Order: sequence, then structure tokens, then C-alpha cells
Amino acid sequence: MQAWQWPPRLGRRGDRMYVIEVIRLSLHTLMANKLRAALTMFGISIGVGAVIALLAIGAGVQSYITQQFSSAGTNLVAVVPGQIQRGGGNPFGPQAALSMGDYRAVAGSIPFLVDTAVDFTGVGNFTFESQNSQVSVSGVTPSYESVRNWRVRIGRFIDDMDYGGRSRVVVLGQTVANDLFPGQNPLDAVVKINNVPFRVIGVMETKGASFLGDQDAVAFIPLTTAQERLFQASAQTKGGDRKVSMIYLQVTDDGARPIVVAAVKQLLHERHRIAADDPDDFSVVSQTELINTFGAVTGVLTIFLGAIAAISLLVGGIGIMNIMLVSVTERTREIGLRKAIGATSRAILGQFLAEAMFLSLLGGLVGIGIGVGGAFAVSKVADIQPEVQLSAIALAVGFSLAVGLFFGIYPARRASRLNPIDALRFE
Amino acid sequence: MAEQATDKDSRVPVIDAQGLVKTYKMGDIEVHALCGVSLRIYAGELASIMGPSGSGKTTLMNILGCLDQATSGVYKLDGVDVDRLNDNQLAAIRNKKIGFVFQSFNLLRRTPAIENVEQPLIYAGVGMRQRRERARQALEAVGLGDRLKHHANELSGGQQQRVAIARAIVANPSLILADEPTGNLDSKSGEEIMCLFQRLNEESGITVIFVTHDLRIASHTRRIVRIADGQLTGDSAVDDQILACPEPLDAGMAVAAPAGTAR
Repeated sequence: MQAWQWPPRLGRRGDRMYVIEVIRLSLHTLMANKLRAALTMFGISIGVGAVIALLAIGAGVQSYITQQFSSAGTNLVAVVPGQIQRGGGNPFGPQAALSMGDYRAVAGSIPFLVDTAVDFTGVGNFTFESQNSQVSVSGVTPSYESVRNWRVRIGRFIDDMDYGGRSRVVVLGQTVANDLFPGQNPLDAVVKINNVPFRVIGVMETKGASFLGDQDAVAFIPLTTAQERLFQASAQTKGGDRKVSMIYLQVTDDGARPIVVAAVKQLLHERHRIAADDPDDFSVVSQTELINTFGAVTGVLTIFLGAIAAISLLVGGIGIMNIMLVSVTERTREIGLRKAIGATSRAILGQFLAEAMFLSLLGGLVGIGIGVGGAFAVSKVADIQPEVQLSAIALAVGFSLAVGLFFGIYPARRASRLNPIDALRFE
Repeated sequence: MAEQATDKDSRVPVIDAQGLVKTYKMGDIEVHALCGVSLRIYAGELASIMGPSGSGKTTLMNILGCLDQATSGVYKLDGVDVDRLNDNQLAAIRNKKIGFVFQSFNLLRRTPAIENVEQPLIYAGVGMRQRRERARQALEAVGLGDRLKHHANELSGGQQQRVAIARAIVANPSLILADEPTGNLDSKSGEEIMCLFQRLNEESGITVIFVTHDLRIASHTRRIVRIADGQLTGDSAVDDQILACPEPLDAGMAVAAPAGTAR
């Protein structure tokens, strides 16, 4: 008689059949313990749902930011004091300052500029009748409106007369107008900013909230008024010039942007006497760079959120392992019987592993629903349009399967290694 | 071989065990569960291995059932030398050549009778349709043709044991090993089960070995092998075998499986 071979050479059909049997068996067992299976699955569902929802929200935030920067104006290059790109330093620290001299030099000598604007920003205490509000006040040049591509909705913007005459006129952002003049026309009203009376000459169109906060909670006054009247004390530089908070350069086209950025850097290196090895005390940022910088930040944030969500997936996996271990103990006699009637260790391993994988896979599928639903629930509440990405779904489901495999293999091995004699006698 | 049926020595025995020794180590002490057991059982026999608890009969059954392997000695099952097989090969032998019937039935609860019976065929790689058909036939053979879809936990003890017997015979094994098969049953159900075994043995020629401590069970068989302290102490034919079945042999079954209700 020839030697016994097991498993016998079933061929492809046999193997496929066995896989189907294992799936049937494990589904059968799960159906027999519906509540337990559902609760275990739910642990995975929450993990997968959290991963998908948070990744979707992260992606939504990212595209929202990109869109925000694009709407800020085209071909804009900004110069700000301090280092903002490397994350170090305080951009508003005393060591970092841009002056009107810097602005004039840049505006006067840099090629490929369509227009320039500058602002100097402080905080003003606005009062009108009984209304009171703390508002960020920017002193700006008349060109600000066109360079930032941000128009007045009613009234007019600051003009050259206001600028030259250091007029006490103010253009309100929509939020400020709403706060101080609920239901009223603010034009020609006189508000007090830090107890100095200003006449309202216009209201800006709504820009909306951004990740930086409410963009409409601002007010604009002439730069000269800000530097020489309202914020006179803080506007002084050590050299006797006046400070500016930000210089805006509108360049002719995309191709000119790198040339402008390089030229501004070189010019300010000379003016600020910065040696080649020393760090800059200013930053030149174009929109592309801003988008990239914030994109990187939100990207890290998204990964971080995803990682936190992944922890809950891990906890769900521990739940699977726990329930599978209980199941192996409970079904010791069944395992013994299966071995007695001819199941190989591999068959037992496959059966229990399939159960664990099923729990995690079904949990993952339910989790997709939870995640997509959660993401859209967020979109109803917040101003963000979450983007549920196929890759995130694939990642979460793949990860949940891996969790099932990882946490299922130990209980399954334990089941497969049971001695049939002991298992059959187990009480 | 049929014409030589009366001449046992010229046939290949189903069980051919020579000098089986099984030694367990419990700490530093060696326990000799079997001390040289030699036994031959031929196709078509209805035999019992009898001994008190601790006699080694369970160890012997485990070895004969390929659940365990002897420390030394030679065991051939259906001519296959079992001693040299690995775990997977032993699983295949159990699947194809042995049917187990246990005292506590060991059915899958909340699983229909027919699926319980199918289980060995799954591991044998038999296709779904053929499996169903063979399981149905096996259940009909034990008189449960009308209980195919009943879950195991909805059946009486006697019916559950009959499902277990159907499961044991479904793969058409060379040998059925029944370990105290009536131990959990009342005497009437026990009689029915013994009747079923006798009938299957007589009609289909299935080889059945009982492992029991109960002389009444052993008396239903035709041969009693006695074991004590790990050694065979007697091997005798039963002269006046108790026939559990009232005449005709299948009358009991007819009650359990009324004609026309079988699905």
C-alpha cells in the first residue's frame, strides 16, 4: 500500500472548495453568537470609522486651505518680519522689523512688480454708542484693495487723500460692522478707536472664516494714520523709521515670482546687513510656498489624527483576540472532535483565523459607513467639505484585516495545537 | 477474499497490534499505561474491549483510533503502518478509516443534524452535493431520515447519539470505535443504540469496537477482549450474545422513521 498523503492532492478545485468550506464554517459560528460577534465587530467599526472620518476631514481642511490661499489674490508675494518657514523665532519679536525704508526700497527697485501694498497692524478698542469690540486694525496703503484682491462692499476704500492727510477714516470688515452696527448702515458713523474718533467710509465684502480665524474681524485705516497717530509708540524702529507688518508684492506672472523672491532677499540682506551664514530676520513667502508650508502642517496633522484613530483600531483588535481566546476555550471539545474526524491542524488554524478575519472585515465594512457618515455629519456642522478618499478606505480596511490577522493568529494557533485527546475530554 | 471469510489468519486484519507499549511521564515517575498489548481484529467483527477504569482501555482506544501513538510496538490499521505517520497523515487516517462514537455525542450544537453528519466529508474534500446526499443516506440508515434539519440540541439523547453514529459511518470507514456509547443514555435508548450497532454490523458488515467497563454492553457483542493493568487478560467469544433488537431487526427503526415523512 502506498504511503498516505494528506492533504491529498486535491488540485485547484479541492483547494477552492476547502476555502469556501472554511468561510461557511466561520460564518456559521459567527451567526450562532450574533450579539457577541456584533459587539466585537463594533470595536473594529469604530476604529475604521474614526480613521476614515479623520482622514477625510484632514483632506477637506487641506483643500480648504489651498482654496483660501488661492482666493487671497493671484501672484502675491509677501514679505514679513522674522522667520516663519522654519518654525523658529517670533515673527513679531523686537529683533525682527521691516521698515518703511525697506518698503520703499523694495517697491522702488524690484523688477516685475505690478503693484505693491503695505500694512501696519495693531489692536484697537472700537466703541460705538454702547457697543464695544477689540479689533485688529491694519493701517494700509490705498493700493491694498487691489493687491489683496479684496473689495469694499459699500462705501469706498482708503484713497490717496486719506493717505496723504493722515485722515481719521476707517473701513470696517463685515464682522466688525455687524458687531458695532447690528441692523444699521454704518456709513458716515463715527466710531472711537482707542478713544480717537474715526469716520466709517466703507465696509469690506465678506471674506469668510479661515484656519487663521475670522478674516472679516478687521478694520482698515490709512497707513499714515496708523503709524503716526493711532499706534505711534509701537511703530517706531530703532533707527527712527516707521515699522510695517507686511509688504505685499503683486508680481506680473508666475514665472517672475522666483526672480522677485530672490531679488527681495538680496536687497533686504544688504539693507539689514545680514552675513551669508546668519539667519534672515525676515521671510519672503509666495502663495505657493504658503500653500506648501500649510499643506505640510495639515498633512502632519492628518497623519497624527489618523494615528490616534488607528489606536482605537488596535483596541478593537485586542477585543477580537479576547473573544477569539474565549471562543477557543469554549469550543475545545468541538476542536477535539474536528481533529478526531480528520481535521488537520492547518484546517483548524484556517477556521479560527477565518473567523477573526471575518469579524475584522465585517467590522471594517460597517466602519466605512460610520466613517463616511461621520465625515458628512462634520460637513453639516463645520465649513469644511470632507473628502472621503478611496485610498483612506482601502488603508482602513486593509489595516483592519491586518489587525484581524495579527490578533487572530495567536488564538487560532492555540486552537490548532490542542491535543485531540485532551480536547475531547475537556469539560 | 470472500470465500476465505472463515479463515481469519489468511486475511488482512483491520487491526493488527503487536506489543504495544505506552509510557507516560508524570514528573519523574514513569506510568506504564500499556505494557505490551497484542491484538488482532478482523473486518466485520463486533467486539468490545472491557476493563475497569485505569486499566489502560482508554489509552488503547486512543492508539487504535490514531489519536495517539504507542511508545513502542507495531500497529497496523488496514495494513497501514501507523507508527511512522506524522500528524497530518494521522488526521487523514482518522478521516478515512475510523469513525468515532463518544459517550457525550460531541455534536455541534445549533447545527442541523445533516450538517453534523457532513463534517468528516468536508475534511475529506467531498463536494457539497455529494456530501449532502451521503449524509442524508447515513441519517436514514440510523432511522433519522425525518430529522435532517433538526438542530442537534433539539434532539433527544438517543437521537443525538444516532446522529453521531451517522457521522461515524458517513465516510465509510474500516472501523467504528465506540467509547461507552450508551453511558449518557437511559436504558431504553441504550438498548436502541446497541440494536442499531448490531444491525449496522449485521447488515452492512461494519467493524465495530466498543470500549466499555459495562459487561451488559459487552454482552451485546460477539467478542470480549479484557484488559487490566495495561495487559490483555482475556479474549473470548460471547456464546449467548444479547440481541438488543426485537424481531424483526429494524422494527425499532420503523417507529423512529415513519414512512412518508422522510425528506
